[in-house]
Amino acid sequence: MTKLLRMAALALLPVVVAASCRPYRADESDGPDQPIAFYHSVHAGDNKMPCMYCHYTADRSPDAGIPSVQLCVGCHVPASSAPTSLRGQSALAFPKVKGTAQKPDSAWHKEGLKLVDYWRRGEGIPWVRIHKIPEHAKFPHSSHVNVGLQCQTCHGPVQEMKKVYQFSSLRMGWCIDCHRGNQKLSEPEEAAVRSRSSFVRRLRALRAEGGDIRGQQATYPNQRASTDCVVCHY
Amino acid sequence: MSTTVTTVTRSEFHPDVESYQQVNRDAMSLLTNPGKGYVALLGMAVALVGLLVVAELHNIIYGLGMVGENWTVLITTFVFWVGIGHAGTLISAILYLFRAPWRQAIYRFAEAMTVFAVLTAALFPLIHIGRPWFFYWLLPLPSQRHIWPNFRSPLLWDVFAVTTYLTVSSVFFFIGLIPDIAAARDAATTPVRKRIYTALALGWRGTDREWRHFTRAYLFLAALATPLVLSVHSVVSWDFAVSIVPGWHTTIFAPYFVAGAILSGVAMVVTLMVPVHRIFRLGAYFTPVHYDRLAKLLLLTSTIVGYAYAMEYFMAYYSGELYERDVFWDRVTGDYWWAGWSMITFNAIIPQLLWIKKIRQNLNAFFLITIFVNIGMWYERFVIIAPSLAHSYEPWKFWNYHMTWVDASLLLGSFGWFFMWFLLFLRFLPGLSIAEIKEVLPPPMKRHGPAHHAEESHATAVETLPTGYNEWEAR
Amino acid sequence: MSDGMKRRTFLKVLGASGAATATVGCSTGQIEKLVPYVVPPEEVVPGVPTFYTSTCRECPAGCGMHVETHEGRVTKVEGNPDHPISHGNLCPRGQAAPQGLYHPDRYTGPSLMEFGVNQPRSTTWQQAETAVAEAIRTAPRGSVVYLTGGYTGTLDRLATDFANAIGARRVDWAPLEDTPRDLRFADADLLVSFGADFLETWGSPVDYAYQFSQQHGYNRGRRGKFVWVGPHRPLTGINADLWIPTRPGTEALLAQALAAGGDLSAVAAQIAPEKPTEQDTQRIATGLRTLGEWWGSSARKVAFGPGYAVRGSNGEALRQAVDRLNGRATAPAADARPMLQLIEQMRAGQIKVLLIDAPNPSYSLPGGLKFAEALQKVPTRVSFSSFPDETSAAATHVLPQSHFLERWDDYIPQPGVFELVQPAMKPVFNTRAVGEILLGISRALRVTPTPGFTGQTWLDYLRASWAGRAGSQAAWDTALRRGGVFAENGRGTQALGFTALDRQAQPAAAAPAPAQAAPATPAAGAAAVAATAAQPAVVNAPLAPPAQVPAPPRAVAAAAYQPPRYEGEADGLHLVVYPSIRFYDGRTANRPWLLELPDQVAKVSWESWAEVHPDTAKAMELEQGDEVDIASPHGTVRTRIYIYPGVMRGAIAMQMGLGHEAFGRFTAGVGANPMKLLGGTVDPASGALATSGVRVKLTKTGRGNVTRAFPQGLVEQGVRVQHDRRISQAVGVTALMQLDQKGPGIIPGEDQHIHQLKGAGGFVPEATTTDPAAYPPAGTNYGEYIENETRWAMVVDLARCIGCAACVVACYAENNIPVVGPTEIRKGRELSWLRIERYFGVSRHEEEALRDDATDDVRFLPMLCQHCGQAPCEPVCPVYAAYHTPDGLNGQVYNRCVGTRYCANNCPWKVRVFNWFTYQFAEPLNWQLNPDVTVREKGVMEKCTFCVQRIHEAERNAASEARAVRDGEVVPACVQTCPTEVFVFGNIADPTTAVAQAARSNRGFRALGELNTQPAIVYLKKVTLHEPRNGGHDAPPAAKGGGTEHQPQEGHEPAMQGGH
Repeated sequence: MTKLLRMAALALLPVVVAASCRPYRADESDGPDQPIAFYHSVHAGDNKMPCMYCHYTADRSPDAGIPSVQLCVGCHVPASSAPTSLRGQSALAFPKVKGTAQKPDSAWHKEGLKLVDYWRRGEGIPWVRIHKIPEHAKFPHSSHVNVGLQCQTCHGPVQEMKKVYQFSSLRMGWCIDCHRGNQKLSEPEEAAVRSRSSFVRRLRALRAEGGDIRGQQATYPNQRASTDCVVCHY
Repeated sequence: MSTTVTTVTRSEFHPDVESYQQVNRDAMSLLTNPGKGYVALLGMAVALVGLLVVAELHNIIYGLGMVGENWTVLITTFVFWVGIGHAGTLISAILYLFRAPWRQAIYRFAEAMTVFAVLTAALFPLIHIGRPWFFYWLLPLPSQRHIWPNFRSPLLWDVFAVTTYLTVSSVFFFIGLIPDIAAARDAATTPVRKRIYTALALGWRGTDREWRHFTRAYLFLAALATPLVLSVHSVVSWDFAVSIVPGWHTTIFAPYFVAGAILSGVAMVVTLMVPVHRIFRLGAYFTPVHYDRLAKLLLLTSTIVGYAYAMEYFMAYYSGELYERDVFWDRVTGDYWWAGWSMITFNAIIPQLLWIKKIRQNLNAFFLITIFVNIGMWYERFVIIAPSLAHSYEPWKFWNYHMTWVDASLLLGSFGWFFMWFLLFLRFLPGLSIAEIKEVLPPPMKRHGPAHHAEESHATAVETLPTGYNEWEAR
Repeated sequence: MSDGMKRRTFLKVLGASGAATATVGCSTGQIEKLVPYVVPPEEVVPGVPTFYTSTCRECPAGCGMHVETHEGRVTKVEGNPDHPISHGNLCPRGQAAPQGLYHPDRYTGPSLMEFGVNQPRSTTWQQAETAVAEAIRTAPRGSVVYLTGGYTGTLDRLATDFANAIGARRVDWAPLEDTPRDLRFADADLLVSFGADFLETWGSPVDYAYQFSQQHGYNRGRRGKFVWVGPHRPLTGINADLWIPTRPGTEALLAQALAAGGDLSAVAAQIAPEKPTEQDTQRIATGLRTLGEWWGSSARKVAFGPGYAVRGSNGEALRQAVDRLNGRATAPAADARPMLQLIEQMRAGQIKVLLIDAPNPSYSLPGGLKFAEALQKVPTRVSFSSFPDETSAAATHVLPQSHFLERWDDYIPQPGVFELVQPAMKPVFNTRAVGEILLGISRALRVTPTPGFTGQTWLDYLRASWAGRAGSQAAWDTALRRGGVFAENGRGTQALGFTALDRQAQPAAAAPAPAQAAPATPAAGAAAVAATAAQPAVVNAPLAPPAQVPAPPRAVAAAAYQPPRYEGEADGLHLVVYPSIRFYDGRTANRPWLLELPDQVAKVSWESWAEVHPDTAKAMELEQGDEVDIASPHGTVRTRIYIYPGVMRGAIAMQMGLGHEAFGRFTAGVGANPMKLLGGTVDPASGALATSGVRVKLTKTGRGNVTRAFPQGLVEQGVRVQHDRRISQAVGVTALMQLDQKGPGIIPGEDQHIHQLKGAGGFVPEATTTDPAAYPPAGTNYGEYIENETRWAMVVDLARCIGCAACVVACYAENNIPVVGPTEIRKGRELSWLRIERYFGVSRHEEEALRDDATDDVRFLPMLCQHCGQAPCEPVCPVYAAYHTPDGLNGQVYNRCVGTRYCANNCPWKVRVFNWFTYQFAEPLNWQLNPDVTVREKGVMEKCTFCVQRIHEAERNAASEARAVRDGEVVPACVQTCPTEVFVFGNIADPTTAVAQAARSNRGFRALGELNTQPAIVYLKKVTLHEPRNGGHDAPPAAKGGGTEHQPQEGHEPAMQGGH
């Protein structure tokens, strides 16, 4: 009897696994190694570069955008506008970090050379993707950036990460929680969202003209955004 | 037998059953000697199940593409089996509450049939959906997605109705079995069987208290199961009735489906009883009285169903609704006229022969009629589904259903699946309710005639009777 | 990934290829790579589409288009709203252009065949060009011929110069491209077409359809008439109010009589079939009388002709008569004699080198000419085709040209319109523009085709030749942004603006223009194409621009009418061969979307058929779907019978386009090619190829539609009669005007219907009115729909719908709808979200659709999800995959769907389609997939979403600008492309919107409105000249067979007691 049960459980296991998502751990050890040891902690942290200096389409496009090799080279290999016009590695520079570039054996220098090689070969850098939402869920970065959400709210303290890891679960429940206002936001963020969210504005308008708002307020008093399925799934 | 024996009082239902011992012997004999025919049947059933598995695998791997254009065969078969599942509880529970003593001999079969029929029906909700691996989304499980199933959907009601019915009827079935399993345990010869029966008998000893609780529990369960007989098939009928498809959107559906279900169920009971009766020579237990009562039940339900058919057509005419009229007209004159007419003939007309006592009492004739009813009841569901979907509102999409090998395999496979369980049941669980048949037998008393004869038989009785029965007799 | 593709192109695709994966899968499952650009192209924002202005080259009409690209992939083409020809719309062929670009059968690069070897060997452009040059150099004088098709503008000039430079003769072969494309008839009272299918292939279909919708649609009591003259009725023909059936070749007689102004009935005898029946004579007599009256009573009249199908020995006579009717001179039909002469020379072995850039002559030339055989006699056969086809299959050198979406080019469709074709993406395969190839060959031959041209590339040449028109960079940019240089603005001058609907619809369709055309500078164009974009240098020495107008018409002597002579046996059937709106002359026949799209009239996909009149069929004991051999003196083809009252007795009509022998995987073994039956005789007057004048014999070779597990053979989709369902209604123009007196927004039919129900003691639903104000009733949560909220809705004007099905193809393109193929189609499992229903009759009697007048009132009905306020599909879904959105849509969440298919059962309109399998998009067709729409997998239900992705895009834009969505800002794909602007889309809750105004009409009704599901789609009844039959009792089953033109009948009799 027990044996049977055990076998049944075994048979069911794959189903359960298939049904649930890969569990993620929100810590650095979960961050995969990248082709180049690029430290967000150095760029966004120490050097205080704004996220959207590199991820420059986050406010204009559904995709946040990955910086082109040219953008990296722009800082690290000065005066190299096109792969052909590369002067050689002496030009390799690390702004704001004194003297490192001169030491050819420094770890940074080695990593920098990798970048130079990609640039010379005219190849894109095959970064390992970390944040992935399935194609049947549409997530427009621009809308979320434009209502005044901070990148860190979803992506975590990237400015402290050496290896970037997946901070949020990115599961549906997580999205819903935030849209319903069950997730805590920082004061300024909350204020910004309240003022800019098209959902909140529409609700206000409806209430103003005495329209029926289907108990939205009652159910989720501080709902921030629509939880209508088709808003994300189409 | 010496003439004196004839004076022994006899049960009105089982005149040929002489003694408790005989009941035990016959009941146990079902469990021991299967015979070649049995093995062959079981083999066929398992082969059909294989067919079902192949077809379903094809569906899962390649998608539903190889089933016909619409629901037709899958849902037809689903409703068919749910319907079959009704007679069992009716006979065991309702007749029990009405204290109809003639049910004792047959209710075990009926109940087994119920459980297995519902088990078969339960396959089809899974089979007919496009992504069976997400079936669990139909269950109200809390999930991180914060979404629940749609409780307004009749398909969801189905899930609840069928699962409830399956649970209750199997519990009812099992409880009823306990004393007999105990008997089987005591009679068991091989150690394996003994261990299994011991587990299943839940340590039944047959003490007074046990019997008292048993009968109470059984009564309550009967009371609990009774409303289900009506509710389940009503819910299934709402699968259709709450839609707006012409020919489905009808208030008469619930009662009409229940009546139909009982009709098909009773028919199936008889279809199963007769072969068992013949093969295991149970003439002593399945007597003309039983068949007569069943025939009358069949006659009643068939008449109700016939009335429902007539009513449907009248309403279609009287409603003045174009679409409704077209569909019903189409059922008898359209591409599916053959199905429509076989439904009417097999379900409403042929059973009317049972008014004639001769036919009621002629086992073969009765058997044949029940076969007709079984086919007819499958066609009834077919006729409800196929023409309505083929000729709905939008003329542009008038499209007839075509059966495919996958549909056929699933249909046959469902029968294989059902008979596999039923045959296994015959082999491993007492098909006759030993305890309850004894209720309708006259208690054993001191016999006339030569003493040694009596002692002998008594002696045999003593040694064959399982523990528990002695106390029971002693009461 | 096929070898021809550049790696960078692939990387670009990778960016958005996510969309190509199915709806299953888990958020953090598989490891993926993110590969950025090395150098980012300017003006391309990843994830945001970039639009380029270009010109459609699928047919000679030359419609201006906007090309939508995502990360360097072309995903969709749409009409250019500023364009004088397309008016922001496109036809089915135009919409299918991306499938030509991404066609998996395309040549991946140049290839050539050595002597002896029969397998072409792929090679480099360098080698290929040298090889061709070598062949040309060694060829004796006069033995080199350059066969071109329909060149205009710069390429025409280059081709001529090139031919002169290398001492070759140039022969033009462009059969269907010789029709006038600049007719103006939007304000005409009467149109008479002599077999000219101007809504499909004749002239400029998109422009003409647009004008036709204004001329023939309902306009405050004004509605123009349209008479069709010809042996059979194609799509254009069944849009006519009157059909005068003519024996092939006699149309000219009628035209001349009309021009002469004499009594038309005189010609009745000649135009009738040889053995006219009682109905024929009556029909023709009535027809001629009506035509005479209309012609007399109409002020502004326009005649069309000769259509390709009626070009017989009297073609030229007909053209001249039509010119007299129109009072304007058109060019005579293309002269085929040079082509015939060429074929003779080829057969005689006088041609050594043949450069072919004509539309597949081996296939499209009449079988009698035996071009393919003659071609074999030419040692060096060079094909510039980009697809393997019958001609290029026989080529020794294949120098594949680029698709027009990936090359520079220009085009002059009609006087005063100069269009530019700009590449919207890097070539998918290793192909080049024809100009590039010619320049390459000249370079290899060390000749300069055009003296004074100093540049290198084809683009330089183009810019040089445009120097006169748009010399400066600024002028060039403007030209590119507009799509060329042309005087009039697309809608401005042409729109008569006669209904609220029309006026409002224009900004709607025009909306995308400014925002999207903007980035379409050559910089962006080049940038998107090649990451390292070289700014095309303005060439110093400008060339004289190409001719402003096409060459002046050839002088042709006045042609007199001769009684037509027919080839073939005297008792044979007259063969009518007509071009197809889907396949044109066969050049677009390999596009899966067009193959899947059911023919607009026959409603048959993936198959050819031969149309015969019911009586003819009865006489020959033929049934629909029967397989027959059709034999002419020149050849035999096998096809299936289609019974159709729209073809005259004693004739048989076949469509061009299918029956290819070597045109790739999709056309293999599909259909039959009627051109094989033609002899290739020419009209003595003009030398134009005669396409009529052949009689054929039929021999039945087998029963057609054997039903095994599923229907086989010829499967006609849908039904021909409405079964009293009144799903597509019409109203007589007089009755309508009476209603208009009473005021707007009443729907007589519906109201009476409700009262009927009440009278019958039935259940009484809410009164169904299409007045948007009436829904939802105040203070209700009606159908889960929030009061005062946006409600997306659509108005469909059946009076304007011509049934061309451009909307259907647009829907396929926008929503990643897979093609299911012939076998699944025969199971009725096409996945089309939008279908055009076509009804010949309204009653439940099939015979009604076989009567002679069945094609006089053909109803088209675009059927899509009705987005009901209280939708039957929603409550039955157990998992909320189908549910109602607050803004009135019926949401369909693919990834939530488990596929119970109950919603489809419960949908009265049957607009929900099911993914029976996971359908494949053959590489690289999947490059076309729209990243904004999920690709569905097996077991999932899908349906029209009103292009919700576009709604969300508009709402996002509005939100970011903190404003409400403007009316006309959301344009679903079908609305965007409709050439006749049948649809209006918008928020019906706001009474000021176009859709709300259009819905308040006396023509308004809802399909199956009596079910009271409150659909969001309001149909406007078709307007007929006479009171139409509208189903129910008023459909006379008695009048079978003959019957006169129109029985005047009560239009608004509700159809309650339909049937028994």
